[in-house]
Amino acid sequence: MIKVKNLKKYYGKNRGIENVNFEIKEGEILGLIGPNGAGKTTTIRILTGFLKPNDGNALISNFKMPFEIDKIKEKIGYIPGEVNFYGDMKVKEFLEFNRSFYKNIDKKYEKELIEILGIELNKKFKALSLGNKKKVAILQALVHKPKYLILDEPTNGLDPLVQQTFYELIKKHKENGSVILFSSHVLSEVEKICDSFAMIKEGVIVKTGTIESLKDLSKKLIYVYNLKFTDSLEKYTYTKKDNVYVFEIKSNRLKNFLSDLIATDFYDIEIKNPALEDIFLELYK
Amino acid sequence: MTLLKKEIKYTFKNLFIWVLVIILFNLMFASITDFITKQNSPFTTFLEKMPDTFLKAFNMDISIMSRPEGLFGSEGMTFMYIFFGIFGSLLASKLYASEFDNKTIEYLLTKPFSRKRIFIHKLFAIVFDLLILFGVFLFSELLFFKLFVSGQYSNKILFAFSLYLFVTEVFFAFLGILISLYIKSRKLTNSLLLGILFFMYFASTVTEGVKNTEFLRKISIFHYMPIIETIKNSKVYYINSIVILLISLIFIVFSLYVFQKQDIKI
Repeated sequence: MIKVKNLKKYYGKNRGIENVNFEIKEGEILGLIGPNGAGKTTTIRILTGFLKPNDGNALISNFKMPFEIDKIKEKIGYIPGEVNFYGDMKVKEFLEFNRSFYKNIDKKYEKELIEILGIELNKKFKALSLGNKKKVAILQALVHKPKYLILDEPTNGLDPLVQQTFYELIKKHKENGSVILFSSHVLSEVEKICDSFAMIKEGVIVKTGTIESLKDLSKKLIYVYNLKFTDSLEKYTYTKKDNVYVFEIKSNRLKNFLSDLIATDFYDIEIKNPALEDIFLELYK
Repeated sequence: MTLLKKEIKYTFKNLFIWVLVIILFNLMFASITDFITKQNSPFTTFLEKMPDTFLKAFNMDISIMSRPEGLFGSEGMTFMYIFFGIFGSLLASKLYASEFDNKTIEYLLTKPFSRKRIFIHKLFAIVFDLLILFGVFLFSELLFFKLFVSGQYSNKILFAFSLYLFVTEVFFAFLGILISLYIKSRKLTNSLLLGILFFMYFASTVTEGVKNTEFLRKISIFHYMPIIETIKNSKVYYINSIVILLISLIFIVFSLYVFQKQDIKI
């Protein structure tokens, strides 16, 4: 389990994060979402043992981070947002170096990852493209089959095909009971693979819950075609373009709206869930 | 490949070049020593006309210039002190500051290897390189003197030179580690270390014999490993060397403490 409770980190007088709380259980993926500078990386840096918090607790398997990180490092896999490995090393040398840190590396799984991700072994790391560097970062984070995965914007620079492969790998780790923290500002991928979310804004968690509950918080968009508009619909927020009325209806008012709508005359309706991006912008207003 | 092996491999090319330079330098000096000492008389006459302060500033003393190790001590050691100081400084910043500069420290710290072990593996790699350079200097110095120098010389004094150079490289390497952990930039660490090295060297030589700048000499490690006195009195300054090594050790203990406790901001 990863548990973050009232976590606080200040850089001098500047707030990094304040009262950050979330919990990730076994076999769960939590999406830590927020724009750049919101505090995602600060939270991750405390969990990975780089920074000491000013207050609060960050626990991985009940070990207090960063103070007890050495007791649990073997079980942590980390993909950094910006991949900086040793430029002059060939990838195969780097993988050999990476192996030296672990007691047991399943070489068969390593080979499988190399093949799945299409990693070029004979190139120097500095000669790789951003996407290929990211693939190596994925491999070094997963190869020891970690129980805890901390992923900081892991799909940056990956092409859609490799992204899909990556999601599948992460899902497999999840099925094997891994606890996964997935930091991202790409909400569509959070929607695709996460079970829950914690939305961070200016260092403070503003919303937490399941991905579904996040959608429920928002307004649905209802497209009504060829509507004969009546006064009963005036109380709802809408826009009109050509012969289409678009109503923004909160989930808890949906029933009332549909009753009012049925009393009128229209050709067709379409109900759309907003994309997470829209929800994100809404919450960030 | 462990971290220690990686670091030794990483510094191998540099070490090889430095080793080559040291061997060639010793070869060159040893091979011209006989020639110069035989023509020493006009040079000594010339030096006698120079003010004492001027001679001290250039690490010269008339009484030792006619001796083979005196010539090496006066001329060669000036370069060697600076060479070894630079080698120690560059090595420390290459292994420590560059991890922060290149942000590779992020990778290392997330691997199941404690900060203490990372520090110690890197330190061992540095000590290994320092010992190699010291060994190469001592061996090539003794060998080339034996091969090329026909006049009388003292192996004890030649050993003292090697010891002083080892102390110098250790001091600057260990100081470099501490500075690297604070500054975290290779270029800035190098600049600062080279500044300290040149300041210390020139503070101990240029101000020699000038009373009102005596305090500057006292803060220089080179003041405590005096070449002229070593040759003149045939005395190796072991205690001073050990004290400087102990100060260097304090840098290491403090650096380890800093590295274990500090926030790593990348």
